Order: sequence, then structure tokens, then C-alpha cells
Amino acid sequence: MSFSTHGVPEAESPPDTSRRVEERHQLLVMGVDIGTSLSKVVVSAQGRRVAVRFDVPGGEENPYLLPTAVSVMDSGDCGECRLGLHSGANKHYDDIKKPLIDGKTESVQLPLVAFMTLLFQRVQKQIKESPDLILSRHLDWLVNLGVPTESYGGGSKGVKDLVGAYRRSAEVAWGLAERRRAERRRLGKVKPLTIELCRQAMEERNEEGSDRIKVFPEFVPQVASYVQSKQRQEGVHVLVDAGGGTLDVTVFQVLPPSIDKGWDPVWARTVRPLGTRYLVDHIAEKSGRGLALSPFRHLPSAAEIAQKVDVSLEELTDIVEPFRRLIVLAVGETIRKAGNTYMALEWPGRLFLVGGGAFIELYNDVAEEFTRKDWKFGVHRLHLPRPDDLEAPEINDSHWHRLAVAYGLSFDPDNIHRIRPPEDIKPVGPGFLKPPDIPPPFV
Amino acid sequence: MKIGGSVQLEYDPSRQGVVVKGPRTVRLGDTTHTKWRVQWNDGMVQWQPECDLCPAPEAPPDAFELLEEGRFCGHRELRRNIAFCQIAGNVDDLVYSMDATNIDFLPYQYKPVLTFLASPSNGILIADEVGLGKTIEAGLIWTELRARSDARRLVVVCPATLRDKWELELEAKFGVSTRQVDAEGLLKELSAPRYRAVESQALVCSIQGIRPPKNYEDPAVSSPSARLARFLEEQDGRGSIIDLLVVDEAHHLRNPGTQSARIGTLLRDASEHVVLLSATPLNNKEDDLFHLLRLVDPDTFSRSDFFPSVLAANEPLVRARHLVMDQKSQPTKAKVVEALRLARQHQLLRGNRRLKGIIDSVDEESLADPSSRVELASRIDSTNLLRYVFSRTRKREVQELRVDREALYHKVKMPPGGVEEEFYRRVTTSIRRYAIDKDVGAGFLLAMPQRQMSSCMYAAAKSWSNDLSDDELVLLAYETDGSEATKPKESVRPLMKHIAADLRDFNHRLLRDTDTKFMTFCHWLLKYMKEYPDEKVIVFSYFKATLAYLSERLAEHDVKSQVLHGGLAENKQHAIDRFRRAVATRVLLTSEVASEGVDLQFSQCIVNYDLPWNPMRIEQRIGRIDRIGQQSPKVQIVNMVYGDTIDDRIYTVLLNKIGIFKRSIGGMEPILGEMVRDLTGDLLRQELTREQEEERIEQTAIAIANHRRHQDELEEQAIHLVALEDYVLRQVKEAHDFKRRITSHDLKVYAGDYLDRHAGGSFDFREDPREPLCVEIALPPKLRVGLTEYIRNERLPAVTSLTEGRSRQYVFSHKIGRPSQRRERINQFHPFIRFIGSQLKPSSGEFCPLVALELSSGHIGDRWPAGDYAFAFRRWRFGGGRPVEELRARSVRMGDEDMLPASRSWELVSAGKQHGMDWHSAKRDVDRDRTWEAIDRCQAQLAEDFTRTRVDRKNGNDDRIDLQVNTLERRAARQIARLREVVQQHREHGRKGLARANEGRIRKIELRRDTEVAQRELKRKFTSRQDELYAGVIRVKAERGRIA
Repeated sequence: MSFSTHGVPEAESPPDTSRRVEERHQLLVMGVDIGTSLSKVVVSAQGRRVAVRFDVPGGEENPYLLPTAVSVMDSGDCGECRLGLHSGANKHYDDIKKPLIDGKTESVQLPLVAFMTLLFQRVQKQIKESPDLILSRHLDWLVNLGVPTESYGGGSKGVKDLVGAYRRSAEVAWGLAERRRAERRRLGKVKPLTIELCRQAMEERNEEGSDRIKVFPEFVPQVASYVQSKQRQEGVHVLVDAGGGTLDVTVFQVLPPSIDKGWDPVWARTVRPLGTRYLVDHIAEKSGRGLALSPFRHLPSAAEIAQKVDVSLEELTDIVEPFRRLIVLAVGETIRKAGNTYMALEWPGRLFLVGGGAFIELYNDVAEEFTRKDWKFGVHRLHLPRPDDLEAPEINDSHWHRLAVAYGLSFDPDNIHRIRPPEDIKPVGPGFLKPPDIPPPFV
Repeated sequence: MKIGGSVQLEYDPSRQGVVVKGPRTVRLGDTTHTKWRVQWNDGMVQWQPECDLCPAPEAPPDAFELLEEGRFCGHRELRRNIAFCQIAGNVDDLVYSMDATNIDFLPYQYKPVLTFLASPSNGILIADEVGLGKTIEAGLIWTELRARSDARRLVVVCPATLRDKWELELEAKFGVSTRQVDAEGLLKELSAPRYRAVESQALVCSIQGIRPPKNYEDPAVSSPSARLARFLEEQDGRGSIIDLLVVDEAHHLRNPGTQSARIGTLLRDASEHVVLLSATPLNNKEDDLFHLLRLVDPDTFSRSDFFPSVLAANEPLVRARHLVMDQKSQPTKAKVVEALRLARQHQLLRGNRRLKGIIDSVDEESLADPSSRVELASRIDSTNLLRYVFSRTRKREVQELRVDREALYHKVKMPPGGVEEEFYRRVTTSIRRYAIDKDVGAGFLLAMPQRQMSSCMYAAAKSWSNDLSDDELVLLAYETDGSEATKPKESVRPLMKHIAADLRDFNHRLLRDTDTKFMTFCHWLLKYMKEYPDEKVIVFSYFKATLAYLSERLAEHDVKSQVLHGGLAENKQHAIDRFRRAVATRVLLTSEVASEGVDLQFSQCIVNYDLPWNPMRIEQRIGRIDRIGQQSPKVQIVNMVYGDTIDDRIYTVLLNKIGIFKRSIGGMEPILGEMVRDLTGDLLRQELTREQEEERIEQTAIAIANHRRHQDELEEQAIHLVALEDYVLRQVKEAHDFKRRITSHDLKVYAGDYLDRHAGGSFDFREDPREPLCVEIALPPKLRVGLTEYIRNERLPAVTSLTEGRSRQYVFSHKIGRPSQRRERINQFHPFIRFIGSQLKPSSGEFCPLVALELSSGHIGDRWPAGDYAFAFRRWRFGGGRPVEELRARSVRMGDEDMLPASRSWELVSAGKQHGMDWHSAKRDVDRDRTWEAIDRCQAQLAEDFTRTRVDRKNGNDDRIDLQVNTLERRAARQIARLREVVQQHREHGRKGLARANEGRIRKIELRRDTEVAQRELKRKFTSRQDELYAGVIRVKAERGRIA
């Protein structure tokens, strides 16, 4: 299956009425993980979960990754927007997520809308062109988005704003994508997407909201990807996600399946700016040398990095040591917090290390350190099991976890919502917990 | 849809559950979707959109209903359920042992397995020629029994020299640990209840060690072998205590007058199944085969006059079979039926229902089609129930053993007038004079010193002056002409003393200095070692002193050698392994006895430093390297013979004439030994001229040729009892090629699938990406408990870490080799696999009987044009005396007129199971009307096949029950007759108590007979059933993934 990287959708072929097709509506779920550097999408249809291919040049190692970026091709802001990074572009908006996290929403809202619009268009087109996934002319989509927050938005204003920004952008983008699709069907073509069009769509946005777009704190679908899989084990788990931006540590528990109490708690959570990009920045700063690395490729080995920044291996170890201590602190704190607060938890637990950092010695050493620790909150290190219903043949089992968030987002929202963040849990006594009485609202 | 309702997924009808909560609605634009919370059968609880659900039908839908709705399952379903049928079932045409052991696949080695499985008499005589792996064949039968039933106790009886070999082969190739036991040990083991037998442990004992004394029946005789014999006698009539008895070199037991035969009979009577191994079933007497068969089935072959009757009854059957199989002519129905009717006139076949069924079903159509003819021939074959007791393969029939023999003859010329010539002449004269003076006729006596001298003059001279011990003399006799290794009645010592006296003045040291034979040998050896720097050489000599001499002399030339002869402390297999591994040691100096039972095919060259006159001994030597596993296409046989001697003439006239150095001479022992002993006596006793010697030797050569011709005629007769070679081999090859066997992947799918569906969603089952068959497993608590209980209830001796709960690595492997220390192996005998089989039933609720797959033509071969193939697949089950299951398929390519034969259909389904991929767009792409029609045709054909097979099996069942009932009655009659004689004797001697006791035994035997006959009659009730497992469509795509 191939598709253009121009971001301009090709004309749709007329529906094939010569075949017998189902008249029932088909419901698909699009799980969208917008990463700091790279975005991923997994679509669920007919019980299958298919990772969407983007086949970005230079990204052959993992064709399911798309740079979180929008390129503007012609001069000025009214130039044509294209998905991803393009040479010859007038402007790149490739740092969309970080300003959002930092609360500088306005500066990136429109590029975000443009990115999402083009993303939705591409994914829909690709899926429609998969005859074995589509069995109906009437496709209804649910879109689940991951948001870099600790909660659904019931906490601080900043979180609320961030969640709101994501949601608004997604709703606008979806509406825009739908209108453009209808226009194409009617006229046979559609004008290129521009930032200006995105602005207009934002202003016209219907404030009513819809059930289509659901937003989840990113760690929730990440945990759900494990909990929903057949390979899950009951008990306490520690998930360490060393992504590009942040280091996320989540302690959660998988409970036995239950009709009434269908939920799995997250006991403790820590997010620190200790992801791989921060590590690179730290090394660059301390060594006084720049370190340009491809977002598609994993970080090189310590020896290679030492060579690039022209230091010895011992010197590099000294450079990263403070960084390493911070990681240890973040992980240890989170585990202790969960264990001390909920004394009924049974240890040892299982520890997974995922994300880009899983290929870096530093993060692995930290994970191993916790397995060797002689303390009451011991853990065994395991690899996050690959779900057997994830269709991503180009990615091997040790790399699949880069798609874990998107995979988790491809489930029905109510199933993702089994995973309850700490704020939803109200302990009724030391070591005891009470399940929420009402289903928490979706954001 | 409502709470409490049963539902299933639209796109996966095998996933079923119960609605437990809902509904919830979701608004998307103008559309509203409804969701329900479902608890699935595997324990997971999830919200599911209503559009993905449909009510689960009360009755499971059949393939046609699902086809109407366009609901297909994928290859996972197919794979899972075929794996279940094969692993948990007792499938007739599945060879459970195939590829499960650590041996290379050689089709002929599975012939006895298939024959044994079909045998109604629970026994078989395997009479393959030497070097074809009879041990392997017995091991395969044991593996098969273990897979199909709860067989635990294996007892192997063999000559003492072969115990180590059995131990090694059973362990290395079949994963069966072995214990060597004596009579005491065997008695102790057999006295324990059967369930205590350690499943994967065999007991190996020597026939010599358990042979009871003649008076063993006397309770006062307390030797272990006597007590063992008495214990076994007491078991008579009480049922089997041994699951499988294997007797190696069974021809040693055929003489009913010997104690060996007696213990063999007692063991056989205490065993459920018997396998006899003998390379020499056919000898000069017609009834030799009969005697051996009597060991297999004493009740059927109880009377020697019965045997010719059997052969006479089979003769028209064999003729009919030949008619059907004759490629050169087209048989007519009339001729075939005439032969079959003639067979049926014989009293033995008059009541044979199966034969009648065949006569009724023969038609011109089936005779016109080649594959139908083969099938018909096999059916004719199957009417002869006696043919299942015998399996024989000859070396020349085995494709894999096409090894050429290249002989190199070094005629060692003794320098005229030299020391050696003088020595030879004087010794020969001395022997002849002794023979005449003492009127000694015994050939072996005269031959022995002659043989020593022919081997190595120096060593011979030295030994005569030092005086050999009795044991050494006995060994020498055995080595040279194969005489039984027992003390000779007359000692050869006086002769040796006589020779020593005659050579008093001879300086035998000179023989060492001018040893022409050694110099010739050494010259050749050094040249060979240089030309083949990686090869090892095996040097045979029957004289221990020669071996020692050669070792010493070779060392002087910096050639490292290792000596192997009887009496060494080191286990001979270890010694061989040591030799094989040692890079610097390239020559093995061995006696033939020492290497008996050991495989040396890592070498491609043997040297006969001396030549036994008995060709069978030479054959045994060559057979050490000319055997299965020989990698070289040719083996070299270097013969060292003193020129212008009796040996030279025997070599040139006798040995070359019978062609022993060109091809195997098969089993002609012991007649050859007899002939050669006579020849030897004549040559040595009389003062013959060279021409007279040659003439005498020529006579023996002719006699051997005649014997061989006679043997060929006996072989012809034996064909009556041998299964149709082509058909059985074809069955074996099909089973191998079409994967009618369990694979490691099947086991993994079987276990993984079971956990997916029944483990409540909480288990560990993670593949190692580098080794897909290596899986980390942890069972949930409920299953751990279940498994522990199962192991306890079934009294399985195996221990498994799966009951412990920690996540650990296991490897799925259908091989049953030695257990690994590192990772526990899960094969088809593993308690967890058995446990799953006990838990699973073909639960119809979880069955999705309609499958759609895609298959690349690269996976199935050129014979399959691209296109859509409809298929139907069923399981047949037949009860009666021998319950079996069969898995059968039929298929047709859409648009074709002709259905594909059953074997090809199975090939298609099997390929789908192994390599198929889900056909996701089947719902849209499949033409339902055409598919319906095609599947219907397949189902109809299967129904027809079933009816035909059912009739045939029923007839076979009745015939089998008839035979078994007759056998039981004859056996009881035999036992009762014997006991009546015993009672009579006791009464005559006034031993009333003993007489009464034996009368009691008679009553018990009668009661048991009546019970067993009634049990057999019950099994006459024949049941049959067919289950529709699957139907579906397979799209075969051309290599590039497009339909041509």
C-alpha cells in the first residue's frame, strides 16, 4: 500500500457497487500517539489492530513513525502545509508538543491543527484503501488521543488547558478533514491546506463537542496496552518509559477480571524531564560539543557517543552520572511511594523499560540496578510482551513498545478507562482502597 | 442484545461470551453506536460495540450457515483444532514417532512401525539384514506405544555384548534412560506394580544372565534366574506385566529345547507386546522361519504343519496382488476376482469378511487407475492377518545404503626360501601330521593354529611357546569361525604343544625382523594416511596377540594406535568415542568380537589384517562401516593375505566367488560356518596338492551358491508374509511429506492456544524472539493446581517446573531425546500436554467450522495451480477391537470437474495449517454460491469414503476378533493340556496337594479364557462416527501474491 508523502490526498475512487458489501455501519478506532519527536497511529477494525505505515524517507528502520512536524511549502504562512518534514519547505513546525507542555499553547495551536488534519486525512485514506479492513461503506470513527498529562484534567489549570488545547485541536482538525473529504468528493479536488484555513476552522469551531474525540493521559493507554493483552499477569508492575522528552514512571496493578469492579489502579506516577533528548542535551552541554542525531534512529552506544563528543568513555560516564542519579531517584521514589502508601500490595513486582531509552545502556543499567536491589519493593525485569493482535510486521518484538501508547489507544475508550490514575483512587484506610463509585468523566 | 445473553464476535465466531452490562451509547455525528460489556469465555471483560456482536446461536452453526453469513475463521482456528485432534487423539495414519526422535528420517525404518500398529497379534518379527538399524526400529515402536497408550515398562533381552549398545541407543536417540539388570534386578522390578514403573526407563538384561537352570521349577532351587522363571510362570494367566518385550538376536531362542527358549517364552507370555529382532530368519531349513514366528505368536503358529497351510492359503492372494500391481499389463476384473475367490476357498480364509468385501467391490474402473490399484493391492494384502507379524528389509532395497565396496588385495609374497616360507611349511606339516597321527577330525582344532599363523607368524610362534589360556582359546575359536563362545569339548593345547616341539630349533625372533606382511601393511598404511589426512583406519584381527604386536610395531613408525579387544576394563563404546575424538590416533586395532554391536561408520576403510575363513565373520567386519550413517559413497576393504597359502586360495576361489567384497551376502549364517569348518578340516587333514585344494574350495563355493539360491526361494515364500513394500513405504513417505506427525510448532500452538482460551487471561507465555520455540511460561494458580492433581492421579513420574508458579523458560520440541539441564523440554509426552488433552473436549461452542485462508504456491509446490479450492475435513472414529481415528479431507478446485484424491486434499489442508494466512477479505471476495456447491461436493465425497471405509473396517474388525478368539482358545487349550500332564504326573507320584493346586490353575485359566473371549466378543460391536471438523476455502496464490 503506498501513499503520497505530499499530504495532498489523491482523488478517491468511486465506491465499488458491483460487490456485495455490508450496509451496517462499521466502527473503527484510531489511536493517535503524538510524540515529542515522532507520532504513531494504530487503527482497530474488525478485531485487528493495524499500525499505520508512514514510510518516511530515512525512517526505514521503523516505517510506522511520523515526525511530529508540519512543513509549509510556499512563502508565508499561507503556504501549503504538508505532513512531516520536507526539504525545500519554507518553514518547519517541528516542535509542536513541547510548547504545549510548557503552556505556550497559542504559538503552536494552528500547526497542531494542521498536523492533525493532515494526519487524519492520511490515516483515513490509507485505511479505506485496505479492502481487507473495510467491509462497509459507512465508516464511523472514534479517535483516542494521548495527552502528556497526569490526569484527565481535573487538577491544575495548566493540565486543564493542555487537555483542552488537544481536544479542541483534534475536534477542529477532524471537522476540517471531513469537510475537505466532502469537498473532494463533490468537486474532484480540494485546495491545499494552509495555516490560514486552520485559523478559520478554529474560529468556526462548533462548541458543542462530540463523543468522537477522547483524550487520555498518555500513560493510561500505555498501561492499557499491557492490561488488555492476553500476556498480562496479575500483580504489581512498574513501567519505566524513557521517551524523547520525559521519563515516566508508573506503578500500577493488574487485578483479576471482574464484572463489577473492572478497573486497574495506577498507584503512583512520576514524570521528569529525563528523556533521551534531555540526556543528549545534557551530554552536549557538559562536553561542550553538539550532538546531532536522527529521531528515527536509536541513540548510538556510549562508546560511539564518547567518540562523537570527543571524550573518553570514563569521562562520559562521569558526565552522565548526575543524570543517572536523577533517573534512579525518579524510579525509586515512585516505587517507594506506591509501596509505602498501599501496604497491601504484594512484591516483588514486574518492571518494564520501554521507549527510546530502552535501547540506551544508561537506562538499562538503572533498570537492572532495581532488580538487584535488596529491599522490600523488589522487582523482576521483563520485556513488555508484544500483543499478538498488533499488526506491524516491519517491527520486531524488541521494538514494538514504541507503538505501545498508540496500540493502547486503539481500544474502545471504555476499555482504556479501566486504568485509573492515582487521583481517581480514594484510599479508605492504610493499604486499602475503594473503587470509584461513578465512572469518571472523559475529558 | 440484552444482559445475560450469549454473544459472539461477528468477525470471530469462536469468541463467545455473555453480556454483563450495558448498554452505553456513543454519538458520532448523525450515528449513534451502542456498546455492551461482555465477559468472554477466556475470562476477559470488555466493552464491545454492538456492531461487532451478534447473538451466539443456541446450536452451533454449521459451515453452511456461516458461509451464508460470510463469517469465516482464520488459520489459527484450523491449526488449533488439527493440533488438538492429532496430539490428544489416537490417529491411525499419524506416526507419532516420526521425526520425534534423534535419528535421521529413513523411510524403511518406519515400515515395522506401521506394520506393528496394524497387527492384531501384538507382536512382530523384524528380520532386517545386519546394519539397517533394527535397534532403531524397536525404539520407534516403543515411542509409538508411549504416545498412544500408557506404556511404561520396556524390557530388552539381548546378548551380553550388546547391552551397552542398547543402553546408548535408547538414551541418545529415544530419550529413554536405561538400567542394566541381572535376574535378581529384573525379578525385583517386575514384582513391583506396573504403575511404579518409571515411564522413560527401560530394563536391559542379557539372555545369558536370566537363563534359568533346568530344574528351576524345584522351589529348593534359589538362584535368581530360577526364582525369576517361577515368578513368570505364576503370572501366566494373570495378565501382562510388561508393556513391550524386545528380544534381540532372537534366533538364539528358537530351539524350544533350550533354557534360553524357555525364559524367552515365559517373558513373552507376560508381555502385552513383543518385538523380536533377528537378522537371520531364513536358513537352510524351511521351518526356521516358522520357529521364529512361533516366538512372536505361539498360538497362531503353534503347529508346524499349520505353516505350510498358511503359505498355501496366501498363494492365490499373492497372485492376485501381483496381478493388480503388474505395471506391464492391464489386469481384468475377472482374473483378479478368480484369484481372490480361489483364496477364499481355503479353510483359513473361507470366513474372511474383508476378502468378501473386496471381491464384491473390485471393478474395472479401479483397476484402470494406478493409485486405485495400489490401494486395492493393499486391501488384498490386509486380508492376510498373518502378514502383520513379519517385517524384513534387505540392504539392497535401501536407497540410502547404496555404498560401494572397493576391495584391495595385498597378496603378501613370502620371499622364496625365506624364514616365513619355512615357518609356514613346517607348521602346516606339523598340523597335518598331528591330525593323521591322532586321527583328529575336528576342523576347528586344526584350523586354530593355522589361523594364528596366517594372522601373524611372530605372534603365533610366541603364543605357542607361552601357552594360551582356555578363555583365550575360546575367544580365538569364536573369532575365527564364529563357533559358540563356549569351552570347546576338546582342547587344542596338545596340538600347540606338538607344534612348539616341532619348532624347538626355530628362532622365532627372525620372524619379527623379516615380517613381510607387516612391512607391506605399513607401507600401504603410511601412504593412505598421507593421502587421506583426515581419515581413520580400522584394522581387524581375530588374534589378540596380533593386535598387541601391531600396536608395538606401528609405534616404531610413529603411528599412534588404539587397541580394542575383549577383556579391557574400559567400556567399549567409550573407547570408540575416545578413538573418534582423538585427532592424533588414526588407527584402531580391534578384534571383531570387541567391535560387535559398535558402529564405526565414521571410518571408510577397514583392513583385514587376517581373514577369517567364514565369510559371515568377514561380513560382520565390513558391516561395522558399511551401514546406515556411512557418509562416503564407497568403503575400502584392504585384505592382507599371505600368497600361495590356503588363505590365498580361499580368498581367490571362495570369497571372491561369492562376491563378499562387492556386496553384502545377507544372512547366511550359520550354514556358512558349517561349510567352512568342513572345508577347513579337509584342507588341513589331508595332504592335498594345490589343484586338489582349489577343487575342494570350489566345491564349497558351489555349495554356497546353491544355498544362496535356496535362500532366495525361501525369501520368495517369505514375501507371502511381508507387507506390500511399495504401499507401506509410500504410507511412510506420505506421513513424512504431508506432515502427518506432530511438530514442535504444533505443540507450542496447542499449549498457547489452550492458555489463551482457558487460563482466565492471567498467565505468562512469551516467546524468545531469537528462538521462537523457547517460551517463558508461568501458569495461573488454578491451572497449576489442576496440573499437580492430574500428575498425582495419573501417577506420572515426570516432574515439571510448571507446577511451581515462577516464570521460567521452556522449549517446545517434538523430539524425545535426553532431557536438558538448562531448559525443560515440552514434548508430546510432557505431563502438561497430556493434561491439556484430558481437559479439552471438542467443545462445539468454541468451534468455528468455516475457514478461509490464503496460501502462497511457494509453500505448496508447483502441482497446485493458483485458484480457490474448497475443502471439507472430517474426523472418523471407529470402535471395536482396535479403536482408531482418522483425519480425512477432500477438496476440489473451483470450476474443476474432478475432486482431488484424499491424499492430495490432506496435503492442501496440511499446508494451510502450516503456512496459511488469514484471508481477511474473504467475506467480500468469496463467491458463496459456488463455494457452497463445492463444499457440498466435498462433503458428499467424504460421506461416500466414510461408508466404504466403515464397511472395510467392520469386516476387518470381525476378522480380527475371530482370529483373537481362536488364538485365545488355542492358547488356553495349550496351557491346559500342559497342566493336565503336570497334574497326571503329580497324581502318579502321590503329590495330591500339588495336583490340586494345578487343577486350580486349570480352572483359573478356563475362567480367564471365558472372560477374555467374552471381552473380545464385546469388541465385535463395531461403532463408527464421523465429525465434521472444518470446511472452507483456500486461495492459492502464485508466488508473487497474485492469482494468475
